[in-house]
Amino acid sequence: MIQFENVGLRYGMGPEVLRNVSFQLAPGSFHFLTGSSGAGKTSLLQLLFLAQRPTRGLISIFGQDVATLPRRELPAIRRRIGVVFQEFRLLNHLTTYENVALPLRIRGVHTDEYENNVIELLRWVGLGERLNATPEILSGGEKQRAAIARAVVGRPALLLADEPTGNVDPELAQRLLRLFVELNRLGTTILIATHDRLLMNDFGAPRLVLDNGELEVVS
Amino acid sequence: MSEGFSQTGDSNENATETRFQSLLSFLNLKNLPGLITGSYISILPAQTKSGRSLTIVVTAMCYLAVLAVIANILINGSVQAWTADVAKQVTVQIKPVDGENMNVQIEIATAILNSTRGIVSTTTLSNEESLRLLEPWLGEGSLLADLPVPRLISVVIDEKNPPAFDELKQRLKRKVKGASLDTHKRWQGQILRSANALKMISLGILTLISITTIAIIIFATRAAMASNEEVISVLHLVGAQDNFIAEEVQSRFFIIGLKAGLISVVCGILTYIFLGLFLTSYFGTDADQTGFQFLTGQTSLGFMGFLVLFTVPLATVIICLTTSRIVVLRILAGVL
Repeated sequence: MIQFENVGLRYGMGPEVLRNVSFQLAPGSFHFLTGSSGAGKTSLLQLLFLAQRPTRGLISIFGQDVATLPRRELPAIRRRIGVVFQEFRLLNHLTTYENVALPLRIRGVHTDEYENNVIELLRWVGLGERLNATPEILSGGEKQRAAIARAVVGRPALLLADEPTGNVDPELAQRLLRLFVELNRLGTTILIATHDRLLMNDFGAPRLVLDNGELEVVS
Repeated sequence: MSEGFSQTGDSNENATETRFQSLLSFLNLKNLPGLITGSYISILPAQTKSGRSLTIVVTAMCYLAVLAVIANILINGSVQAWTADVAKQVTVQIKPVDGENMNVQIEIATAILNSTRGIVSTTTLSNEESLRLLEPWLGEGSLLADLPVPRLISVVIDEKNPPAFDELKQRLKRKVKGASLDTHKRWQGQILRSANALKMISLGILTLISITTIAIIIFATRAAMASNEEVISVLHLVGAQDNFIAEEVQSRFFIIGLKAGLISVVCGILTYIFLGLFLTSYFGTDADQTGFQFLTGQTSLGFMGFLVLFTVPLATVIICLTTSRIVVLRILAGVL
């Protein structure tokens, strides 16, 4: 499903932040991405959700070489990828409900078709009472959950999450992780970037460990 | 039977609906019904102060465009009215000649005119009427009575089948001493040249306004894209196509263009009415005194003229939609 071969990435004329990165994510797999700050986790995620093109190497997502794919074909791939950003990136002028419904709205799905599902999902992540609240008045944990709901609402084939449990209490972290596990059981490929060793130990999924721009796969 | 008819009606309605949707889709305006009813919620943030300022600036440009269009319509109407009157008439002037009886000369000229094909009627101005025409320049008094004043014959011609003027001119010249034929062509030509110059000026103004409006929309679209960079980035990352983002921005500019266009038409019509009333009360309604008859009600915009004014909001909306779309797509082409 996802294949990286000798991928390198540099910003402008700077040094390579990712070097010879090679790995594969099989369909329906669950992986953690970890490494110290500045190791290149966010850069790797950016390559995965097509916010960057690699400087060198091959990236194949859903069987397509994204490095050479014309940009008009990128949206179709992005729609199959759900992303939870570390800084949430919710739109402040939209309500929680509108933020979560956004991926469906841009696909042209009619409100009647998704309204109940979105409300149900928001209730599941504990935001049933915050449907009409804008992100500005949500707490960090609530924003986190809204961002997760937005990432999963479109039933993505690949879910990328950057520190998705960083702003929530352990109990809610476990609950959110159960959501990811459930999605994984339904066939979604999951990659979670985290520093949380406890979370990784509890779940025991394979890890992609980044160190100074180089990647090692630890089973 | 009735069921079948009903089904046909439904299918026609569906076909019409589909065609309408296709048109909106073609214009990239699928949100139009929602925009008009207010039910569509834009993904872009609501209008900011700069958005309101933009509406005011575009309204001002549209208002100037409406005034230019009004001027163009009035000039056209006035020229048509003047030239139509002038085209129907020619004038024969008979200058006094020593040793010739003026009344006899007039009778000969009238006889020639009445026997010429294409002439509908002739009216000879009396000596008093001819003198009155000179009064504005020479004043009243006995001086005028002593002057040898030319006499005039006003001739109404058949516009569709006019007489042969050159031949008529020669006949009058041969048989009536001091007679000359004025077809008013020179005056008509001057009027047309002046009117055409004014029309070109108003069209030039309209062109300048259009170019300026396009420049304003380009600047505003770039500003909107820059201020909504984060929103657009998120839209991209959740899989929005360029068309979708362009449509969102276009929706914003559609509303601005429509508002500005309609407000400017109302303001333009009010200006026309108030200016007309002011000039009427200030100068009076006598066209000969004022020279402003096109603004004092003698030549009005007319129903068609008022309809033509609505091309301004239409053109504004088209300018806003196409310009913003082109700018957005160009900007997005540079983004991954």
